[in-house]
Amino acid sequence: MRFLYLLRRPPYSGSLAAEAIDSILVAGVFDQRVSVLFKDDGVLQLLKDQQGQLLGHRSVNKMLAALPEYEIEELFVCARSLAERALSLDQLSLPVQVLDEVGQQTLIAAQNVVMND
Amino acid sequence: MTSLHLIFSAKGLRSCLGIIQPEDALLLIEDGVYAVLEDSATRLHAIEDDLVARGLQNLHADNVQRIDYSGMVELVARHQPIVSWH
Amino acid sequence: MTRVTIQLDKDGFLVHLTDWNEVTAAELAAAQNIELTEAHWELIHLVRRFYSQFEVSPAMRPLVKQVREQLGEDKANSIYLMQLFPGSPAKLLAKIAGLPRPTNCL
Repeated sequence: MRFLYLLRRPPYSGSLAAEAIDSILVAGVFDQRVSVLFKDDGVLQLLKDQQGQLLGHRSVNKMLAALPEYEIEELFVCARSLAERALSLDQLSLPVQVLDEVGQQTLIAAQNVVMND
Repeated sequence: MTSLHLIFSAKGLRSCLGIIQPEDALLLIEDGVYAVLEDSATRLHAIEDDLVARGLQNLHADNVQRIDYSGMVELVARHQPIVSWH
Repeated sequence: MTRVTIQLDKDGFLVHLTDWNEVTAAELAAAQNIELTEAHWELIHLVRRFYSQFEVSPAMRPLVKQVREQLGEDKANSIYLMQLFPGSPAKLLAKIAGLPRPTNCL
């Protein structure tokens, strides 16, 4: 089965982003092919140097750094969402692959299940 | 199979329009039905009760096909994956 | 001497992660009939480093991966971990190390 997590929320609107990452890690434990697409405000989860503890939250960028430890290494980011926020890859905390709109279409069409944050 | 996009907000519709394929189906649901006020070009399905409850039943153009919940079940059964856009 | 009461949740995990110290760890281990040795401590410190880096407690697979990288191939297997932390090593280690339960242990 192929699972895609489509993450579109900013990191600290409640604990939704952190809970979604917890559930991605669970999927990783079950030997499924899991990939993640960061889109819209979801790209903000990848910003370096977050200090979530100031808000009483876990730091979402640190949790995301655990994904490769769970062998989840297909991480994608929407090119337009980065451009709209004037962000470049060196401002992000993880190596991700940039996808244009056609790339995202192909990615979604290849999935069995798409989950959200 | 082709994708079904469940649209829960006008913002969700704007976001998904960039990456849908021509044969994908789009269904407006809950507050997503307000997107009929913004989009008169894309071929859309919308849950009839959600439109009527919000007073939108006469405010949409011909691009919107109204369906009931059994119509939604049929759409879900015919598509994979199902993608939600909040 | 003042005896500090430490709050545990219904499954025996610390409610306040800041309550943890090596004495607490020994007591949490004793409650599971485990006497902590050097071999236990190096794993406890390993999972605590994992948590401070990633803010999640490692599930079994990432735990084994970290053990391989940090403590060597000999120890990187579930039999070794089960001998030290019987039953469910990832869960028991997190508990004794004063961390939240790993996310796959619902």
